[in-house]
Amino acid sequence: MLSLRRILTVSATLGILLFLSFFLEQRLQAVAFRVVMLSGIAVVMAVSLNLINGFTGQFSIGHAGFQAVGAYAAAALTVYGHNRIFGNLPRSGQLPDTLQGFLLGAPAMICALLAGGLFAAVVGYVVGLPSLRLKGDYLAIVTLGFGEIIRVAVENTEAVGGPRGFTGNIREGIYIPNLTSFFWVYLMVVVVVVVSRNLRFSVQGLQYLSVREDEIAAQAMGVNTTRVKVNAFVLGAFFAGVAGALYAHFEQSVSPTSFGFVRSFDFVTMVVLGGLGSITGSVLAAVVLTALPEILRSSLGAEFNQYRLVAYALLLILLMLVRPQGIFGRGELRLDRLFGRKGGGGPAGRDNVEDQPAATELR
Amino acid sequence: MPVLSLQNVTKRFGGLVAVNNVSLTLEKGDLAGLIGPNGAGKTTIFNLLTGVYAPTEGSIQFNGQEISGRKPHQIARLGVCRTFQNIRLFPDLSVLDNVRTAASTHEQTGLIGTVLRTARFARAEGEVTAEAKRLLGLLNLNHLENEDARNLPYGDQRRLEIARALATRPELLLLDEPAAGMNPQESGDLMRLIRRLRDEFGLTILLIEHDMTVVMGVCEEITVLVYGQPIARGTPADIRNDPRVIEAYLGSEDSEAALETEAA
Repeated sequence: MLSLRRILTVSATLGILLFLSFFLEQRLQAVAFRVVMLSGIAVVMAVSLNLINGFTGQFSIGHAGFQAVGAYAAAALTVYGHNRIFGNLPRSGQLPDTLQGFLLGAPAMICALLAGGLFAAVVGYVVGLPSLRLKGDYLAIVTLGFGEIIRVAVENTEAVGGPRGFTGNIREGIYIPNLTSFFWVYLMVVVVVVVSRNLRFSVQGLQYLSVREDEIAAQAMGVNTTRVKVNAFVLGAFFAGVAGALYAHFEQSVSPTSFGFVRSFDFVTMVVLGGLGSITGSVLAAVVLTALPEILRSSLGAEFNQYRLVAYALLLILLMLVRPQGIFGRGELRLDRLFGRKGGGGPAGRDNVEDQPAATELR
Repeated sequence: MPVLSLQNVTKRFGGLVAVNNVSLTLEKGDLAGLIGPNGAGKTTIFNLLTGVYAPTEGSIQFNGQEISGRKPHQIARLGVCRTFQNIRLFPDLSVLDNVRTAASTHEQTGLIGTVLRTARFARAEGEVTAEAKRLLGLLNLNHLENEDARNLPYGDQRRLEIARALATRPELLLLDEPAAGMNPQESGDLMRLIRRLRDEFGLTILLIEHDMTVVMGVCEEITVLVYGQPIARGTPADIRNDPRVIEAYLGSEDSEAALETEAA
């Protein structure tokens, strides 16, 4: 409901994000800013994959495929819509290039996010409906195959650049605009975390978890397990598509190889490492696994740079040996647990858009 | 109209006939038992009734409505709910959440309402939680509501399964070996509970049980199943003295006294 408190929380969140966006885009070094942006996009991917793998326990390993669908759909929209739908788009929607650029780019960005999300969601529905009858390894193989199909399909679509990738230079001089500012990335982070949390701590969400816990028992209790699984799959695909739209308008170039199955495994790693089912775990793991290679790159120095991936792999193995259930297991990191009782909390208090006390009686 | 009526139900798995031409009728408020040696097809009948399997032949009617071939969740929503022989709780959910999950299937808040946390969502959430707590109280599990289901002692897990089944608001409750693993004290409590459920909730109950004290003590009518076929039906006293039942359980040369020993 539109309570006053809710309106205030939403406007405060938007205000803080705008301020941070303005601040960070001016002050951060290019490399650091890039890590911040890619981490945010990875968080959207990991948390949305957690909806599928963590909540309902369906093992999907083709998540990058949905990101590809979203990225290409959104990029195609802004490139082909340039001058036709959106007027003359600015090359950059980031704040250092004036607030005007951000405002001019905003409608196109919103459309791109929706287009990416909805397109991926439709594909998710079409893929999910037949394949979610399968369980475990079999579903994993189907989703893996789906990811590859997307890659091959894109490579053979000339309209979006085919195997060369897509920078938008289809009509001369028009590129994918740099619309993704900090604001949009972290707004989507907030949205996906809040959606996940509201689902997780509700009786509706319990139905999702019950599918993971025991599908036969869930059915016997009246849970429509097929619908629950398809819902989770579509919702997860939607946010993966949104992340794709963010990625495309940040990198200003997408190529079929950036969404291969290796990339899909990165997201699975994040979700497993954070703890299957843990929202805060996915957030943390996504940030750590995106930032770690970059930090290793700069801290190891030039001569050790080549061992960067070895160190990364060793850290992963170590963490899985020490905590096989993931960093947070199935629980959540909660600020009210850490600092006595005070408000709801996720990482950095992001998911405090809360009106209901439902979460307080659960973990 | 009978609550449940099976007519000539047969279930084959390849060449194996697990359930062979079974007919059974339960009237509202019946408290019936299904017994038989291992592998007689008792649990298969439960699986047929709850939609896990579709019968190869025959018809299953619940309140006059054909339910064979429907999906398990549809049958559950019509009012047929069960417990499982090898306990199937949601192990990593709390005791309260196990029951809330089952109670939630009546609410139609939907994904959008849940994500946006509408007023309707808040009301539904409150109702579901209240109902779950009431049922846990009824089964003396309320002091454990925040415990993970997997950490409960065996007897409590069995009772939690019953609480969870009740949360779906069934008319017909199917209990698959509810007393398995319980000590005499616990199974005594269970018998009182089963009678109470029938009387207070107006349930129709069908139970599978190997513990003869429980079956003979609580059931008003018993069907004996051997190799997928019903061989006898009657009151506990009839069944206890039926030569075919004695033969099935103890072999033909054993005396009636031996069954009495087992039954005691």
